[in-house]
This record gives sequence, C-alpha cells and structure tokens, in this order.
Amino acid sequence: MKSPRYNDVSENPQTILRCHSRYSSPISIDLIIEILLRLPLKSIARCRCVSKLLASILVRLDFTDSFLASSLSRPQVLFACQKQYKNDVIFYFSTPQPQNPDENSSTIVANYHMSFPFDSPSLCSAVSGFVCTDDLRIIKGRKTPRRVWVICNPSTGQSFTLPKMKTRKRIWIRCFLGYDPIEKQHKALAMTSQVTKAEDHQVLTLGGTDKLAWRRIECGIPQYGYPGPHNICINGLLYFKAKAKYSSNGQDIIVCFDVRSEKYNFVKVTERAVHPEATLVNYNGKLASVISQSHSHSIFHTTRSFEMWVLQDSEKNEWSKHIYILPSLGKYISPGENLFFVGVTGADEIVLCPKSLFREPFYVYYYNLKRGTIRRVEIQGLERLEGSYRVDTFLNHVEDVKILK
Amino acid sequence: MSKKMIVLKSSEGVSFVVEEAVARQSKIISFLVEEFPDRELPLTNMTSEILRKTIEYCKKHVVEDDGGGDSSSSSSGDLKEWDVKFVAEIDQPRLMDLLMAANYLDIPSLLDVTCQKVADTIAACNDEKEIRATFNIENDFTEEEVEAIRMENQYPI
Repeated sequence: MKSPRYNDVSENPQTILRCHSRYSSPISIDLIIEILLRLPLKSIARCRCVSKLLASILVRLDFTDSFLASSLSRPQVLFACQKQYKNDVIFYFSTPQPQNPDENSSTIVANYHMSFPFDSPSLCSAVSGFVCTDDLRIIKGRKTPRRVWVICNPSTGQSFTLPKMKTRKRIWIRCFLGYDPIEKQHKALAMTSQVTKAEDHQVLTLGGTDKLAWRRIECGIPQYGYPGPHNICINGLLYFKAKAKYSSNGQDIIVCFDVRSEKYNFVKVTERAVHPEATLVNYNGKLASVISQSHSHSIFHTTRSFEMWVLQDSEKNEWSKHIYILPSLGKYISPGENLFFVGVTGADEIVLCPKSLFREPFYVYYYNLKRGTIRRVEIQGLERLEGSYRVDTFLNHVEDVKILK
Repeated sequence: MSKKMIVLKSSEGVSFVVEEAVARQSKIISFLVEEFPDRELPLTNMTSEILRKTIEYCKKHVVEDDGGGDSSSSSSGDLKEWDVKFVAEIDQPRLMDLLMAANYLDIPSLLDVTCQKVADTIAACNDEKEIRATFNIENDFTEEEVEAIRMENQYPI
C-alpha cells in the first residue's frame, strides 16, 4: 500500500496537526485511489459511470498501474471456454492461482467475467491480462472469411481487431502478443510467410499515443514457420518456436523477440527441447520446455514421466534436463482422455489441464516438482456452460483495467 | 513501573489521556512524542467522537512488550473479527472521517480496514445510482456520456 502523503512538516505540532481541516478538505484523490484499488472489476465498471471525478481517477495511470501491481501479487488462472461446433462466443472465467504448495483445497469456484463474440476463433494466447485470438471473420459481401486477430481484455470488456498488415506478401501470417513490463505496454508481432519462410516482420503497439499501426522491423536470421502456435512471454521477452532452414529436419530454434527494443534474438536448442509437441513455459522466470515421455507426447492415464528442459544461460545456450516421474493418473483420467501442459506456478507446480469440457466436472491438476505428488482441483462454476467446449487455460493472468484508446 | 501517558486534545478541546504505546501506532504521534515530549498534542481537526474511535482501535491493536518479545493482546483471527465488527458499527459519514483520520495520523492498519469497508460498501451497490445515493455523489454526466463510457468498458455490470 502506498504511504499517505503529507504537507510540509513544520516544527510546531499545532501547525502539523491543523494541515487537514476536517470539514473544509474533501477526501483526497490518493485516498479515493486507495479505496478503488480494493474494488472488484464489476464495481470498477460501475464507478466509471458514477461521476466525472471518479471516471477521471479510474483512467489515471497511477491508478491503473497500482491496480495492475496489486493484481500481479495475486495471479489468476484464466479459462477461455469456446463452444464447439458453434464458434460464436468465448466465455472467460478465472480462479486464484495457488501460490503455496501446501494449498490443498479440492474445489475452487471460478469467477465468471464475460464473453466475447467471434465468428470462427481458433488459436488464442494470453499475456498480462490481454488475450489475442485468431478469428476467421465473415465479412459482408465477401465469399471467403478473412483471418483477423482480435485483442480482448476480459477485465474491462474492451476488444478490438488488429488492423490489416500492409504487405504484398500475404501467404499466411503468424501473430503473437507480447508484453513489456518496463513500459507496461503490449505489442503485437506479426510476420507474413512466403513458402513458410517468415518475411516482412511488423510490430504494433497497443494503447500507444498513435492510432493502431504496424511498423516494419528487421529480422536478421531467416526463420521458417513451425507447427504449433505455442509462445510464451517472460519478462518482456517473447519466445516462439521456428526452424532455421526450410526442410523437415531443419535446425530447430527458439526465436526470442525483445518486446521493448523490438529486436530479434535466437536460441539454438537441442532437438528434444524444441520438439513440435513440447510446450514452452515460464519456470520461475526462466524459459523451459516440457514434454511427455509417452509415444505421442500427450499425457494419458498410462503416462508415467515427462521431461523438462530449462534454459539456464541464454548467452551460453545452456539447457538443463530434468525427468519427473508422475504418480499413476489412472484414478483421475480414463483411457482416451488426455491432459496438456499449461505452465508452472510460482509454487513450483506444473499445471496440467484437459482441453475439453463436456458435462462432467472440469479439473486442474497440479504436479509438485519437488515432491513428485499430484493433486487435482475441481473448478466449479463452469456448469453454467451448456454443451461441449474447448478450454484454453492460461497462468499468471492479471487484471488490467487500463482502457486503451 | 507505571506506563507513560500522553494527552491528545480533540477539536472541541476535550483531553484524552492515552498510554504512549497505544498512541504510538500513529506514526505522526510517534514522531511528535519524540520531538515534543511532555506536551499535550492538539488534534484540531479531529472531533472527540472520531478521536475516541481512533483510540479505541489503537487500544485493541497495541502490541504489548512484556519483556518476552512481541505479543499482541489478541490473536490475529480475533483481531480481524473485531475489526470487521468495529467498522460495521460506524455509519458512512463517520467512516469517511475515520478513514481520513487514519490517513492523517498515519495508522496503516486502520487505513486499510476503513478503505476496505468503504470498498465493500461500494461493491455491495447494485448500480451506479445506488453508489451515488450511498455516498451522496452528484451525477454530472449526461446520458450520452454514460453511454460512451459503457461502450469503452463493457465489463458486465
């Protein structure tokens, strides 16, 4: 909490104690901020409509930054639930993210935030409160749907479509969302690809002073497209997988994009660490890659182990390999079901989740890396969704109430 | 050994004799006691009612140093319960006064419970009209302006 502010302290106690008169001075902006910081999102939205004074405080940078900072100390697990066979809406829920390995609650109630409309969404990724979703949008007067990227903030309900990239190379486009924690800025990075080679790299800053516009940047080392959308942003560095050569056995690399300086860097990796099925995670601030040791690299009821590669030194390209033994999952998941890696919590727990939700309860699994134990937590509150859903789960979700202009 | 007492004087001129350890939870009073020992401290912007409430809070929260290290007079669970009851019994205008007193005297824990209570009161309101009515805030928006804000912030309210 911020400490209160005072007027100049003079030597006479009479003067010091009179500097705030009870009836003449209304409550200070600092104190109003102290109160507003303790409000849930719903009340923040209501307060914006109460008065001009409150509305103006809620858009102040010192308020939104403090709200974000307090949310960072209580990270959440975000669930994006997308209705199957009728892709027109994504529902967002969240729960607190365990920060203590001794937490043993077996159920937790998810907080429903809101839904956003889509035409045909597919991939989505989330970073620092914002979600980037790939949507095939049906535009009036056109026969074929157009691929767009939509940025949503489930804490304010704000959403917008990224503008079309101005480029002549329009084979396909990859787009990632990154976050720079120093400037507290989200940026989108997109590239077009010609025969899978990524060309024409462009960056767009969200919420900057200028209108949303793509800027072209240089990429020194060739990179080729890669199956799987998975990317992760750790302390202002956006990592995603690529190949250094155009061939099926081209050298695997992890591309590292510095969101702040907008410069590319490359991390060479051993083949397992960047396996197409491996999931990139944030392991206590370090880049890591996790992959199941089963044949198909998924986690089934029979899967007994997985490996984790941790980038110990990015300069020297040193990775450490760890193998973890899973307890029997047979009592939790039935044959045919599988779990996916979501990430690692600050309490050194690997989070595993199913990707689908259909009538039965939804569980999140926490594997304790130090103890080798697993616990599962039932997520209540998702029952309100009727039908079959695809669920994308994200860790370290924060509530950012900044309204982007 | 008798405990050291200090005198706090409210805006109405009423004197409150308080143990120094109790009053020292206010960082401002703590500072003033060191700078001006043996002086009565006039709190000219605090009514007797608010000062009495503040002292009541500080008495409950004083950490007694009985030689065996720090030990609070109550367990933390009990204290939390007591805090909830303490702020629940205060009406809205007095709660704001107490909040400002906590800020002014720099008593972080009292500032925290009073801010939280005000936030809980706002959170319990069902719409912006109820917030305005509860806190006696004038609506200076036109309907169009409210509509524009709702377009920007579409979080369901």
